[in-house]
Amino acid sequence: MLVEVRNLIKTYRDAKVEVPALRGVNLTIEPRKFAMIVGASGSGKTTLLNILGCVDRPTSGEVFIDGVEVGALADRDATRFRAERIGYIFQTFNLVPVLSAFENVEYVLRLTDLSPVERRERTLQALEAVGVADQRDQRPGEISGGQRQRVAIARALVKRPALVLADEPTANLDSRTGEMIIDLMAEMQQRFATTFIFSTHDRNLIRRGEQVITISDGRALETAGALS
Amino acid sequence: MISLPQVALRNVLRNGRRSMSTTLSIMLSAITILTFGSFMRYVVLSYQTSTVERVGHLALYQKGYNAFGAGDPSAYGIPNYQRVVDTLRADPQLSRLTRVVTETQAVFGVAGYYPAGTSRTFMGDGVVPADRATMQRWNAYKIPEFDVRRSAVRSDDPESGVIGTGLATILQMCAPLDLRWCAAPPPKVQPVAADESQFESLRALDAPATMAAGGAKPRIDLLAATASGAPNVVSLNVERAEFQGVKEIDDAYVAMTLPLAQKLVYGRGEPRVTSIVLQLNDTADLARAKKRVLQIIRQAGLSLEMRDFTQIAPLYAQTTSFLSVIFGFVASILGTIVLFTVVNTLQMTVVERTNEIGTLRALGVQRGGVRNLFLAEGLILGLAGATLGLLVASLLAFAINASGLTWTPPGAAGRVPFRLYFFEFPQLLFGVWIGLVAIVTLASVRPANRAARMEVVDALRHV
Repeated sequence: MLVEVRNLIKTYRDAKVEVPALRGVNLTIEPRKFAMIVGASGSGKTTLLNILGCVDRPTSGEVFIDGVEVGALADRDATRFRAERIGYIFQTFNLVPVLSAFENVEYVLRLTDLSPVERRERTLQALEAVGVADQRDQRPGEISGGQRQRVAIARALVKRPALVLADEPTANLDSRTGEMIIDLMAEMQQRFATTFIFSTHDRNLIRRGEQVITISDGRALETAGALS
Repeated sequence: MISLPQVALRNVLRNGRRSMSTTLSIMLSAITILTFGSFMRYVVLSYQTSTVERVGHLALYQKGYNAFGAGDPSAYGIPNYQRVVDTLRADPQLSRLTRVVTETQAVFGVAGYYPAGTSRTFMGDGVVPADRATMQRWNAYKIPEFDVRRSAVRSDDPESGVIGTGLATILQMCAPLDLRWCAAPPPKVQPVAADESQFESLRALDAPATMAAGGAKPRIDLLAATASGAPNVVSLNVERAEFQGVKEIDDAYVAMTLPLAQKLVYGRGEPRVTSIVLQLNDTADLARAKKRVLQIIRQAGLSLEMRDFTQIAPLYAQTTSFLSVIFGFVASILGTIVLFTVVNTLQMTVVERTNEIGTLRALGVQRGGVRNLFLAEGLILGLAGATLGLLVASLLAFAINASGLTWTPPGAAGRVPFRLYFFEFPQLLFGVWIGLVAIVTLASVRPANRAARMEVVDALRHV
C-alpha cells in the first residue's frame, strides 16, 4: 500500500483551548488509486491532507507514505520528502505570480537532481499533457482560473511523485471547469500511474473516486473501496 | 530556466512602488554620504596641503622650544644646525622618504611701512628660498588651486621677502605691490599727537625704508629683539604679497631669507635656526619617517624634540577630527534610516507573501531556500540603491566641480573653490557602496529569517 494511517490523532492547542481535529483515523490507500476524502467544512479533511503531505505533524499515531513514517521525519527530511515524492494541488492554485506557467512547473524540478535539459523536456511534456503548452510563457495573472489549475496539476505531476494531494481543487472553479479539472486529474492519474488523493465537500464528485473516505467529526469512514 | 536572483528581481519589480521608495531612500543616503564625504575629503586634503607646504611634515626643535621658546626664541635656537641637516639628508632611509630637509628661523616683531605710516606685529620665517620654493610645490593630492603657488623669496637677494596679502593690506601697500583687489583705506582720524621724541632712538637705528635700490620694490622695516634683548631693525624688499590661506596667518606673515632672519634675531652672534623642517613625498610615510628621525637624533645624541604637522598646526587635527565626527554622525543616522526602511519594506513583503512562502515550502523548498530568496531581494534593493546613488552622486560631483562655486572656509582669508574630491577618492566610493549594500543585506536578515521560520500549515492558511 502507498498510504497507511494508524490511529491518527491531531489536536490543535492554544493557551486555553484544545481543539481535536482528527480523533483516531485509520486508513490505507493502494498505489495508483484515485481517492477522495469527502466531508463537511471543518470535518478534518484539510488536516488529514496536510499530515499526509508532511506539512503538518500528527499529535499521535503513525503515517506511512511509500513505506516511510513521515510523522517522524525531521523538518529538513520532510521537506526533501515533499520535494521528491509528493505533488500538491491547492484550492487557490497557489502559483508563484512572478513566474510564467513554464517557470512555475519547472521550479519544482530545480529541487531535484535533474539536468537543465531534462527539466525543460519534462516541463514541456507536463504542460502539454494538461493542455496549457500554448500558455507556457504567460504568468498566472494572464490566464484563466481553469488554466491556472491545469498549470498547478502540471506542477504537481512534473516530478512524477508517488502521491498527488489536492485540497478542494475545484472549489474556486465554476462547475463546468471543475468537472473538466476532475476529468483531467483522473486522466493524468492513469497516464502517470500515480496516486491521487483529493478532498472535496461536493458530494456530486463522490462517484468519480475509486476510493472514497468520508471524514466526519474527525473520524474516517470508508464508503467505497477498502474499509478503514 | 529561472535562477534565484531572477526570481528575487521579479519579486522586487512586482512591488514596484514600494521597491522604488526603498531604493530611493538608499540612493539618497548614498548621495548624501558621498557628497558630504567627498567634500570633507577635499577640505581635509586642501588643508593638509596648505599646512604641509607651509610647515612641512616634521620639524625638529631645540628641547624646550615649544614650551618656552615663544618667550625667548633666540635662546632656543639649534646650534650647529648645518651638521644636523647634513646628517638627515645623508641618511639613505630618510632620503627615500623626504622631499625637502631645510632649516627655518622664526621671527616675531613689528613690521612698519613708513610711507603710509602704518605698522603691525608680524610673525615670520627665515627660509632657504630654494627649499621654500620646493616645499610650496608639494601637491601630493593634485589639488588644482595649489599648482600655481610659487614662493617669491629670492636667493639672489638676501634682503628680499614676501608678506601675506592681509599684512600688505593692513600696511596699506596695495598700490606699491599692485594688489588691485585692495579697497582704498577710509580717511584717517588723526590721533592725539604723541611725544615723538620717544621714537627717535629707534629711528636712528635705521633710516626709514621706502623703496629698494632702483625703486623697483617697496621696503618695510622689521623690528625685533635680538638674543641679547636689544632691539634690532632690518629692511626687507617686498617682492610681492602672497596669500597664506588662513586669515590670521595672512594678516601677519612675513617670509624672508634665512640670513636676514638670523641677522634680525642673532645680530652679530652665532647664527642658529629655530627648526629643521622635513617635508615628505607622501604623508602616508609619516610614521616611518618619524621613527627614523628619532633613531638618528638618539644615535647622534642631539638635544632635539620632534613635532609633526598635526602638532605644529593643531587646528588641522582639530578640524579633521571635527569633520570626521560630523561625517560619522551623518553616516550613522542615514545608515539607521536605511536599515529601518529596508526592514519595514521586507517585513511587509513577507507578510503579504505568507501564502506564497507556504506554497514554496509545501513544494519542497527548504527553509534556507526561502531565506535566500528574501536575502537576495534585500541585496537587489541594496545594489540598486547604492549603485544609483553612486551614479547620481558622480553626476552631481561633476556638475558641482564644473560649476565654479566658491565658498569661504572657517578662518580663511578669501573664497576658495567649492569642490568635491569624488573621483580622486575611490576608497570613499567603494566604502559607501559596500557599506550600504551590507547594511541593506543585514536589514534583510530578520525578515528573511522570519519568512524561513514560518510553519508551512500556518503559512498556507494565511489569507
